[in-house]
Amino acid sequence: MVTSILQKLIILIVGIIFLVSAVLVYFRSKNVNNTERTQIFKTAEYFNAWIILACFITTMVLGIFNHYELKKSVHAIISLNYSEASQALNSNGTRYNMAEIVSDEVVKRAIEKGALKDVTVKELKNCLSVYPCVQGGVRDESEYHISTEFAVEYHALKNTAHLDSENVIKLITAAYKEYYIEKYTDNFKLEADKPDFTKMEYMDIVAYFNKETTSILNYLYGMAEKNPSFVTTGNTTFNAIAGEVHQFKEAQINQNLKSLILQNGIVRKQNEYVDRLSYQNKNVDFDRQKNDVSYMLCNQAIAMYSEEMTRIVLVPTWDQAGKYYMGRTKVGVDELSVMATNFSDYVAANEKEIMDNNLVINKISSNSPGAQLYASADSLIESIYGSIKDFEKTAINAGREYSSHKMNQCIAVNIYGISIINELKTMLLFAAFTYVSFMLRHISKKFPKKA
Amino acid sequence: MKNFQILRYIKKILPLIIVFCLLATGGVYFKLSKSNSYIASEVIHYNDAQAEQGLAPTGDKLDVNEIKSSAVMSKVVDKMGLGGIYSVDSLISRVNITPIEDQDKVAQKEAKLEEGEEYVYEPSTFIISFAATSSEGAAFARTILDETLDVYFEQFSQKYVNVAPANNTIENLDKNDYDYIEMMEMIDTSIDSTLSTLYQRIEQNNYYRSTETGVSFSELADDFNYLRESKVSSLFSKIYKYQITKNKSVLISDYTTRIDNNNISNAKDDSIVEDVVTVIDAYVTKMRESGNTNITYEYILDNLHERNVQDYVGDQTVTYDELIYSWRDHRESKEHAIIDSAYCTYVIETFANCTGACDGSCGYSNSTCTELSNVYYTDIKNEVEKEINALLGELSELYNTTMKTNDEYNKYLGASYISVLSSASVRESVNVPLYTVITFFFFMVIGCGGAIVLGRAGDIINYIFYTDHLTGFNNRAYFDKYLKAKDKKLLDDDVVYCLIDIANLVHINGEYSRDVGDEIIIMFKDYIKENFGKSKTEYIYNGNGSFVMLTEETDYITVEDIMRLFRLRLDEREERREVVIEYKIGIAETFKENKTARKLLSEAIKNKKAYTSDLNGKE
Repeated sequence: MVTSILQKLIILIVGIIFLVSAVLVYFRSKNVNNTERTQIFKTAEYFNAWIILACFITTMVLGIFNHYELKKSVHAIISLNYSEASQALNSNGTRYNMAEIVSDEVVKRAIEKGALKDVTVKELKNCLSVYPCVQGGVRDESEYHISTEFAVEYHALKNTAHLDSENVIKLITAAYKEYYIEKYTDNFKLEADKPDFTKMEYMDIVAYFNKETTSILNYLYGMAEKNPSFVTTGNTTFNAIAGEVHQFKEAQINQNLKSLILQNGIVRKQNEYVDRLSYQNKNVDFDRQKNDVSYMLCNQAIAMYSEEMTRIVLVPTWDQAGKYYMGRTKVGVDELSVMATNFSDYVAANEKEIMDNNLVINKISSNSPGAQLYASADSLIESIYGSIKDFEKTAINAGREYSSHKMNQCIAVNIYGISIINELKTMLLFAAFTYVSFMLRHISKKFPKKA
Repeated sequence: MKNFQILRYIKKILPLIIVFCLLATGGVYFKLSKSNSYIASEVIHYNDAQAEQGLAPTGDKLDVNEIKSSAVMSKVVDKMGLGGIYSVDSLISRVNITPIEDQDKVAQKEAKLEEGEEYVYEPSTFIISFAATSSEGAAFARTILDETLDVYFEQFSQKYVNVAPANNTIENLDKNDYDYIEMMEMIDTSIDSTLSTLYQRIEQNNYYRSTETGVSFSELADDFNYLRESKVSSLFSKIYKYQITKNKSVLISDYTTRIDNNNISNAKDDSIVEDVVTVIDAYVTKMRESGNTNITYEYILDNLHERNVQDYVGDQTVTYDELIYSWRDHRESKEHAIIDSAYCTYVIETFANCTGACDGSCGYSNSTCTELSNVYYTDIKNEVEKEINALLGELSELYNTTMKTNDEYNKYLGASYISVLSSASVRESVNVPLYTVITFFFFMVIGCGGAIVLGRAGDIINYIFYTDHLTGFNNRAYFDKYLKAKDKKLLDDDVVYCLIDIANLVHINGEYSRDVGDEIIIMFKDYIKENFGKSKTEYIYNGNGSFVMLTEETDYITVEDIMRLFRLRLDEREERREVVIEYKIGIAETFKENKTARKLLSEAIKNKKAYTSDLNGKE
């Protein structure tokens, strides 16, 4: 702030000297005739050592203040390197919004990251501005342009004068990069805490493991869909990892663990669990009854079609997807047949669920497993849990590797500080102005005050 | 009068014109800069095929003006923290939507309409603009536009694409005084509805994963299913087993009412089914009687082949199908209601059931048998309450994740249904530099024009008031003005004043006539002009045969020589040789002591010397 005032003060003083001298020369020139005036200008000492020295000192002082002032302003260029950027999208397919570069969240992160003191989010935000490096137009299609490079400018104000400008812009860009990667690049939610398996029913643990492995598989299949040929540094692909996880799921969870629990009737609270399965059977049975009724009604509806009427509607033709169907409409017999089949499938699924539950109930009721079997089951559970966590890490690492290499880190940042050439240019211009002002002052003294 | 010389007029006041132009241009620049506005514009395109029919993906009318609806703008105001600073209406009024028509499609539409064919075409590309004042700046315009489109994209997806809700309807379930079984039913129904929404999303985009939450819809469905299988069913079974209720009478009454309602609904459905069957029979009979059922399949096939059945022509459900469908729906509704009633009966029986442990007292009591007979009932009830609350907590967390994932999915869908063709660009409403340059030239033209008009007017005034019409020299009034103007100024060096007086002009006028006197004056004027030639001289005829020559950039000797030549010329004249002319010449040059005009003039008067030009007797 002080430097800014002093800088302006120096320019103001030199400007005043120039103006006062020019006015003096103008008025005093009336006291002399043309010849004398010309003579004064001709005989002025244009290389006066004192003037040159004063000019040099003033320029140097201004140069120092100017340097301090310039140090308050820096800018950075943020380039979006991923392919979706050219469609004005984030890497997750949502709309890109440049304003997020200086959003409250990013600025807050930057403050926390740099442990910046005595500055609020609002104060720091007021010093920042962002704009596209190249912007198109809307008047003609040839002017259309999607910006993928953005300049972030920082100019320190009174409240932020104590901060190092380059450091601030580095923090802002780093915070934005971090924020962007967190928010818009591929992410996989990790289960924060290990569940307390001792409080869970054994069959619930099997379901939990199935859920977790399906989640990993989903993530891997999703990544494989984006880039099936991507090979990690560990020389593996998403599909290969998914294959391993799938194999593990089938072998360890659905065969080994489930079979061990089921065949030996391993259960924590037998009565409670049997009650639960019985309730489920009752509930599923209501669903089964409804599905069964719906199935029968569809069949009855098809049977209701009058022979003469079906002759009208039942004409072989094909739909938009190229599939053949009977009649001018699919809502009639075809639609009802499809529905009937679906309901039949639901009934079968309901019946299977009931049978599965009955099997578990039977096994639990007919077995009384010993402590050794419980220990085996617990040990297997721990081992499976460990393996799932390993698979999770492998999958995430592969995903991160894909993000960083294939998407070129998403965002690239270049920071631009002070330009020495620009500073020198300013100083040279000011030196010339100062010299003219001082010289004019010197000349004005040579004119007589009175005619 | 002087010649009409444009450059002379302009040159005279050129510095003044430039100063005026600069000041005026500065003023205009300041005014333009202040009143200028920044317009941020972005080009968007609706990718859905139906957009060119003016329809949204759901088939509703596509209203682009929703971009500047208060629903969108109020969210923008909230998001940017502008509440209390800007009103929603003031921002709406600054948003402008301009359609960009595809000229090929427009031509196609016109051609089709001319042929009498129906053709619907609506533009699907639009320029969206937002205007900000100069004090708000370009960044403000860009940010508001960006935020507006962000909100709109999300809202578009919510309204027209991703319409199925996945809301948390059980958030405050524990705060209302529901019975346990009712609470569990509500939880179960909520999970069921959320699962069907999630399955729809999975069907649309199986591998979609939110980058914010890190989960996919399929994982969310798995989580809901897991909770339903493990915790919901466990709680249901406990509630049934231990007959846990807040109020047995209310519970039993509630389920009995449900059975009654189902019975009423069934009676209504029975009646409808009967009517539908009657209509179906009548329809078939009528079709049969009208001969429509005798159409052969060959006829229909021929008809179909004539049309291009691959062109989708919308829903072709026929009335007969609709009747059959109606029959099936009402029958299904009735049969499902019967099963629901069976479920209600099961609930009533479960809670009214007496195991005998209470000695039959539960039959007359508002408490269940377990409540009366099991000493641990209160503990079990508390445990169930605790578990329900824990389940609600877990579900709420899961719903939050679902909402966040869904929000991001909406943004994703919005951006895939609407693409940005040109990202936000900001331009000024007025090109200030261009208009400033134009203004400068305009004022220059005005200034120069003014200078010409004024200059010429000055010439005319000079001619009328400051010119001697006999000699064409400046007159006495001009000389007075000149002296007055020079009063406070010093003359340059090398200024020489020269006076010539025709001393005997009165005598000449008297002896020869006034015309001769005038001739002599004109002759003097001609000789003066001739001899001073191209020197920098102002000529003044001061009246009564007195001439004043004010010469600059010269010296005494030069002017003296000119006067010598003048005298020689006068003595060798051909005209009026008979007239004897007596005249005086006075010359004075600027020196230190006579630097003012009046002093120099009096010096010249002082220096006057008399001469006579008498040519009588000379050849």
